Amino acid sequence: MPNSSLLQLENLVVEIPTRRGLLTPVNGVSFNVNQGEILGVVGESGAGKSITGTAITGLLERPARIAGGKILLEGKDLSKLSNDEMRPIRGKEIGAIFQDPLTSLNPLMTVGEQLTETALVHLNIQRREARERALQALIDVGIPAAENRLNGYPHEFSGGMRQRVVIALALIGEPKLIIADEPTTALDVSVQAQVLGLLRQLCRERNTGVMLITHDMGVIAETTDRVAVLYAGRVVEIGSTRRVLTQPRHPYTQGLVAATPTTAVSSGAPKRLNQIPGAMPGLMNIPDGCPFHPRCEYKLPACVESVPVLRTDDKGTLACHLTEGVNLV
Amino acid sequence: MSDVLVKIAGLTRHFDVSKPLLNRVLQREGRKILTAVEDVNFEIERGSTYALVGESGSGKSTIAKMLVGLVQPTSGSVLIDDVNLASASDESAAKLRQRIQMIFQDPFASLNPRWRVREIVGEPYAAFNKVSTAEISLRVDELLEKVGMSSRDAMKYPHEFSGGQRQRIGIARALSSDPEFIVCDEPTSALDVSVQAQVLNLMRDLQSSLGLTYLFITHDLAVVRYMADQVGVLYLGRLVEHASRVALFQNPKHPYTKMLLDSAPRLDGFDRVHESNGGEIPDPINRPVGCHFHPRCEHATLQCKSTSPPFKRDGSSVYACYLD
Repeated sequence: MPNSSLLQLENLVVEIPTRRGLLTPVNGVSFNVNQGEILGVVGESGAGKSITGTAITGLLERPARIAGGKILLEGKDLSKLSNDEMRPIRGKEIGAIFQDPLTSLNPLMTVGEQLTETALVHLNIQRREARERALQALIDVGIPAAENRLNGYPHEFSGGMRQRVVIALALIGEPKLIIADEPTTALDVSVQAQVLGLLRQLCRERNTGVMLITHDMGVIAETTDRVAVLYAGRVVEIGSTRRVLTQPRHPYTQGLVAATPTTAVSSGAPKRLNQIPGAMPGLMNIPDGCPFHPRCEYKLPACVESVPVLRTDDKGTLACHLTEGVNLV
Repeated sequence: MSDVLVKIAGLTRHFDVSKPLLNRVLQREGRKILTAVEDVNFEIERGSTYALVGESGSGKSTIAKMLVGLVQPTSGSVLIDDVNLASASDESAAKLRQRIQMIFQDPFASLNPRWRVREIVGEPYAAFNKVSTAEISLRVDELLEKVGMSSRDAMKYPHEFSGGQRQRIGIARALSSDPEFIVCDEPTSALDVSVQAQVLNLMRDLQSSLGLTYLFITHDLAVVRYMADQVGVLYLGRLVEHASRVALFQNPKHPYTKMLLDSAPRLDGFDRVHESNGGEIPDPINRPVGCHFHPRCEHATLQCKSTSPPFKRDGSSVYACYLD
């Protein structure tokens, strides 16, 4: 095992008991995030990517619960910790960035107060120094006239600036790991590019590991080092971003890449978009065997009977009964 | 004959966002006017797709609403087959409305949760034609098949369907009155990519089999590349560039178009560093004087800051910029 591994998920299972039966939105997810690395977690709605992130931060809301597996942060299992034991870890060890910046900031506190308070809680420093750190944090995320903006309230900031403040808040406790759940989905593309560039640059400088959750394959390509593809609560493929996007092995990854429209220039009439038939199954009716088999064109009898195991070989990590993966058409 | 179906001339819409009179008097504030759309001109040819691209606040949805008559223009006109919806007689307006339909962004909010699919899809048909219940059922079955669903789905409620299927129901409803022109306001931005591909392909198939004309509104340039024949780029209520699809993607003229193209994440953009780092969209109530884009433009001159540039033509592109 490489000792640079920061976060290791081993067979994480999250269950939600309901009156109509037990739901398993995360069903045996394993991957790791190394120091200073950006791992992309990609999948469509219902794949379980956000719940995985929530489970790692210990913010699962009842009745959802971790039913199995391990969440190892530098070897320490977080899955068994109580909420009180998690509190000092959140913010200090693990920072979080969520989709909507307006709901992650307190509307009644100035940005400076929020940053200062977070620094005071997590770092053993005096108020004066915390105030200085808050200012530096705003400067680091590229907010112009940072000194004046410390006294501003979140509603006085534009969408992109707010998300920069959220990034500053996530980084001010100097965490080793950041969970970023669709951090730019609410932003316009021109602002998205700026915010993602900033996140990448800051994490490189500080050697912070990032788990970037998104549904956007373009964002994955431009921002992440490695990518884990999730489908119906399971990991179907992990590999270096370049390899997974240019030579996807799992039929679902292939479908996803081919279905993504791109702006790459070509003069001819655009081809038809490749489409995957059907849709992601609901949590109430995840099929037996490989969860992707009803939509898969390469289905084998084994795919209906048993769930393929996630295996690692020299080309990457794959969960598919077609051991070699599918040849690209 | 140039086959223009939709002609938009000088289209402008202001919204009054002032505080109530008493507050204005007490706080000594004037009226506040938001200019959502300003002097927009374009034409859509019959059977083609015109895409309007822009970020939030660019006025694209307001244009869509004016086209279907949900919002009245402050000035300017929308001519559909030379009939102005705003000034037409009741009778000809009703006829015209039958030929215009809309597909909405959110397939969860745009279908009545208490209606069965049969009622949702059948309503436009029943509203415009004197038909029996049996005829409506037949029509609904036919429409559902056209959008790749089965006639058994007619008795179900919207909540029984996934997002993609709901958007198919929305498309079936739009087709129900046998329209020529469909305004699509971000029809796939709430959908997952694999499902988005299904819906986009379906829309293109329907266009070629039924000869539909689309106004396609989106913020996603990649989707534009698959759908559009002509593209208009909006910024803060003004059209800044208008070009054919090929010209726009191969040779964008306006700095804003270039920035949009550069910012769009690419599947092959491994470790790409974006050139643009230029700010955000300004407040639409206090838009910059001159060219609205000048605060974010690296080429901005004094002229750009004082007067808004006129349109000029280059090949198939028309754009508003002082730059050569």
